[in-house]
Amino acid sequence: MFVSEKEREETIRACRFCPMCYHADTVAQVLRKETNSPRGRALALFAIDRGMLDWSDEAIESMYQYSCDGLDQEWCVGNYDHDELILSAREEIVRKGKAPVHVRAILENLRRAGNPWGTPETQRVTSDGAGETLAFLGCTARVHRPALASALHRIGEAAGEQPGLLAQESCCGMMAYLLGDVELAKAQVEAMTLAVCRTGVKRLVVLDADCYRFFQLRSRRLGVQWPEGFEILHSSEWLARLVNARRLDLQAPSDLAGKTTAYHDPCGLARFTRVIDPPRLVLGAIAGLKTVEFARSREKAGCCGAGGALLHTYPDLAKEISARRWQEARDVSAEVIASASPSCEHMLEQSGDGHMPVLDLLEVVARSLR
Amino acid sequence: MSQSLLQEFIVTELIDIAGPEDVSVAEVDRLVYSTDFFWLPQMWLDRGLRPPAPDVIVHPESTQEVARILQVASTHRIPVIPYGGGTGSQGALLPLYGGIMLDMKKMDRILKIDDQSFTVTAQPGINGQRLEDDLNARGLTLAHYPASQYGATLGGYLAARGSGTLSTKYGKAEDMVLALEVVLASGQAIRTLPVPNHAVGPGLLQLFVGSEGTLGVITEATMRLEPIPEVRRFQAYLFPRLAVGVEAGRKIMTRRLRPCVIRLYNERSTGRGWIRDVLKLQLEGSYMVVGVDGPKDQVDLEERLIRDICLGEGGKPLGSEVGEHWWKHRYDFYYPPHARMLPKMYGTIESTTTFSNLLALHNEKKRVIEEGYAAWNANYFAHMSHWFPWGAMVYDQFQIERPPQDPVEAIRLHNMIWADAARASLRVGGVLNDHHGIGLKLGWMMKEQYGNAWPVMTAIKQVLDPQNIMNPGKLGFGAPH
Repeated sequence: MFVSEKEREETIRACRFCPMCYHADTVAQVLRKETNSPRGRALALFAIDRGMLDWSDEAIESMYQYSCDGLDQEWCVGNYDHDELILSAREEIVRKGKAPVHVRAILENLRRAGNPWGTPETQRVTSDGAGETLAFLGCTARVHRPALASALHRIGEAAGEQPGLLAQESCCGMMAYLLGDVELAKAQVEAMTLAVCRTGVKRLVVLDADCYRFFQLRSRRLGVQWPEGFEILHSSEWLARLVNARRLDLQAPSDLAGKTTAYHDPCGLARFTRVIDPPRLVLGAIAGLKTVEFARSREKAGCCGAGGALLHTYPDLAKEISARRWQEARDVSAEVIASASPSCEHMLEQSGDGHMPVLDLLEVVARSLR
Repeated sequence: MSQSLLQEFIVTELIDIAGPEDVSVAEVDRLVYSTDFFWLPQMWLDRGLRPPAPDVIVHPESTQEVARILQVASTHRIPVIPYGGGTGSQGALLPLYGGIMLDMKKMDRILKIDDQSFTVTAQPGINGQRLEDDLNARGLTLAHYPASQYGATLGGYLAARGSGTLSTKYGKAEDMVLALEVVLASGQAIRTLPVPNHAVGPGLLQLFVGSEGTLGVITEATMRLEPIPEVRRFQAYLFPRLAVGVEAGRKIMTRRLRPCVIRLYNERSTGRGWIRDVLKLQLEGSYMVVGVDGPKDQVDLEERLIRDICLGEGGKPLGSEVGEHWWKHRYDFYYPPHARMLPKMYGTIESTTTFSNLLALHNEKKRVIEEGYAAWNANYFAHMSHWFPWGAMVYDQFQIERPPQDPVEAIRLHNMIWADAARASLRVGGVLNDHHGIGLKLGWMMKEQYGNAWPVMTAIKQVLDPQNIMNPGKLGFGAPH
């Protein structure tokens, strides 16, 4: 999708025999099979291109069993974009009508209901943004973590900058992009961009790291035109601004005070858009909050399990990946996991045992308002 | 094995042992497992040809499963190829006669860390970097840093007698191993003695180290550990010629100083190779990096003594920044696009010999490559790393920018270069290989290497694997019976 033929060819040639990021590849470390390694995937693509292999069910599965979390490229001295290589393979699979049944079902949900679960959504009562700022919740927050909208509202009130919400928010297109349906991704991002621009706001505050990444890095390449000077912020960047402007007075509530809080970097932030310090700045501004870093953090942070749409396509694999992240949290004696992407938080909750809370930065801040 | 009713029965047996998720006959898997890091199958694939593929891939999760799988293989006389990280460069993993590819990566648990004795016991499929990370979290290190560390496994380290960047102080894999559990071709699991130093007869342990899966499957290993050093520092020097640098290295080692690494690049590698291309250093002469680690006082002293030797031999100090830069980027050489890659033809033909033969080994191989293959514009690059108290390893490589397009012609040229380089090593008192192993690539040279002792090796093989089902065609042991 976003690799030229030349880049694709070079990436296949670079990856097809190379073992140098094997240890970093999230799925390879869990499945521990060569076909599910960077080298295995690239070699399969090479062989398919050369007519030495067919798009068998197993070959197709190996392309969808990948976390697209940017870790391989992060470790690659040659900076080859293995993720886009695999996404281009998914695009080819969809274009050829060979997408697995469960992938087609998710795409159908996206078309029909505007979210990957197919959950019917009612029109939001909240009016479109009347001020200068609009928030984009994303599918996961709308369907599974609606409390985030309330947290956002409380923060907006306290800071004197209340972001509006779209009355009819739908998927931004990221999920279709991850599944290889470019046309759907383009249609969705165009529709959402249009809806946002119609409100006349000057900036968009995006809650989900994946949506943020998609608006920031992919929407324009799919032909979307944002108004001149329009600002797209991740919610952690917006919060950091409010903190820097001293518009938030924060004190950890009794159930968080003194508890060791580990911040999980979503790949959409730490790797793809390099939003690494703003969430830490916000957590650092909360009096009485004790923070700790994961051993793998910042741009080398481990995947939560949801990367590459695995939560939807291969939930058992996603949970295995997620269980490793939980272990990493326990290894640093974390008592609370904070993150800045509803997708990551939903994923971690799916595989957690319920003993350790998983909170969005917005929730931590909202509960810490004095 | 062939496509037959019998094959289906055998696959059923394997599924019964390992479970359906851990047994595959899928075409995509068979293709992916048909190569390792050897240039030859990669070239073969690049030309659109399929190397021999395994009939079935199995991912065992315990010693018991490995034992049962080998019993099935033994009963049906099916080849078994143990597979670790697939990072070997000698073709040791090529399933020349089909059979069962035994991917060991699901046996990847750390079983015990003995903080008192500084040892770790782990399953062989653990990824090298993961093992190192887990040990580091406890203040320990294996101190084994091969360039393949990100993809290789512990079992692969041992099966190939591998070496790492800091081997000059910490030794090769064979020096680090204390004990092994091995499943023999019969399916019998055995253990070597609990410690490697003893007077209880010959060393059974070392029989399996470097056996490349031809004598059994390593299913557990106990390794020596090191403390993470208080300091580790690197200094770089530039010598006017390789020979001068070699003499400095010899003096460092024979004075029994203990640098963790001495890496000395020959003139071509310094001026036109990786040092220029990856490290972005424009130097003429012979570049040496020396690393020292341990308690700070010890490092201060050793660094000073090494510096005295290097300056005394005419070395020019380049400072610590250049040395640290090398350490930080030491693996960059192995990533595309810096790594040697197709369409080039290349190979690492390294050998080890005593100090008195070291320069002769280098010069003879340089001559053989550059003069013998001048028609192909063959280039010879070399550096000396892995220094021993008695000698050093010449890590040398040939490279041809434009090899024959015809795959058969390419193989013949490739193999003749290897044979000439290997024979040059043998002529001047070296060995076929230092740390990459033998595999398929050098198997046919093993008789020349061992001479009269070769029948002893084949007799050992015959006793342990009478049907020759264990990784047949490797180490010179030939086809399955």
